[in-house]
Amino acid sequence: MRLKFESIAKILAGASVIALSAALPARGQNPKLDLGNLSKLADKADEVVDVTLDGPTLKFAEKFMQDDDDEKDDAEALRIIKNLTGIYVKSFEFDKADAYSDADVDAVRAQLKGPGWSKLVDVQSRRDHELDEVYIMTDPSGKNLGLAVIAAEREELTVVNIVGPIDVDHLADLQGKLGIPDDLDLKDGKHGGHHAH
Amino acid sequence: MKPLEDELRNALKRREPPPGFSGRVMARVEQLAEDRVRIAAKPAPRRAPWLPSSWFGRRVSVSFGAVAALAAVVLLAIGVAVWQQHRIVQERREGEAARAQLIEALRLTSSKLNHVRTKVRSVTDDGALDHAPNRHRSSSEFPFDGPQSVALPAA
Repeated sequence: MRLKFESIAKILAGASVIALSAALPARGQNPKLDLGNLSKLADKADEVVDVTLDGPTLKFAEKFMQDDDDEKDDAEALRIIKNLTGIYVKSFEFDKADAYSDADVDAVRAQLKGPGWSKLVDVQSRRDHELDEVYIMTDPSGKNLGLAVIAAEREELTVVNIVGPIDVDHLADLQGKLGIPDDLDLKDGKHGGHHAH
Repeated sequence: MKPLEDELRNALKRREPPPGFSGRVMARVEQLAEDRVRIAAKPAPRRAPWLPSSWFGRRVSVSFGAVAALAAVVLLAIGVAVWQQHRIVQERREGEAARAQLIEALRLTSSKLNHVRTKVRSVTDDGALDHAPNRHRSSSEFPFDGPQSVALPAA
């Protein structure tokens, strides 16, 4: 009888482990970055965009995009964000150069050396003191779990972290939709959008 | 005529009441008097003075208590309606703010990705990568199809 009870307990424990491992991303793979260290830059910045959309807030925004029937382009955005669980953006524009340090960027970059993350694009310009890095997190099966973008210029620092399966090509193609101007000055990466504080 | 007179006389002949009849009548009279005094002593419900005493010819009697209860119900209904309206407006405002945040995030991300894509394309298109010993071009032409590492020339 005791032997039978132990066998059942072992089977249940094994099933729990399998269920947990199926429910969670691969061990140690968390596409959400800790961007808390960048918050201190807000005091120095001339303009700040700080977006934190996760869980219910993201679903809430999604619901309002669905309700907005006069926006055809929202359908494209909805398709992109459908399975996302978090969108985090921190962008700072400074009125003087070198207002942020390499350590600020390194603190984010260090997290992108964790398991699952791989660098997709790395553009560095010493002439313009620019740095653009695109990272993507995938699980062992190759499924996309998240995205991170670091874009650093002399007077600007932007970090984007998207949690959930994201189609990078479609996201880039959003330009010209959702009020995103398609005549961006891509050389400088400047745009005429508004900034949230 | 004689028999009729006899019948009448017989019918109207004085008869003595049953024993105790007068006592029972007096007791009933006293009881009625007591009831009248008790009803008179009980305070009548106060009428709301502004309400009409009759409505389409029918006499109505509405107490302050009933009016107060009705007013409370009406006030409660108005309060609930106002609160519901406020909640809807608040929810709409929060939803619009969340939507604006989402669009801002997508706008920024999209512009940065395009910025990177354009930079990579500009380098690969002008052949700069082919001549730089420490640079390489991805087998794919599209920047996001595979790992890319590009170092733009220093000034």
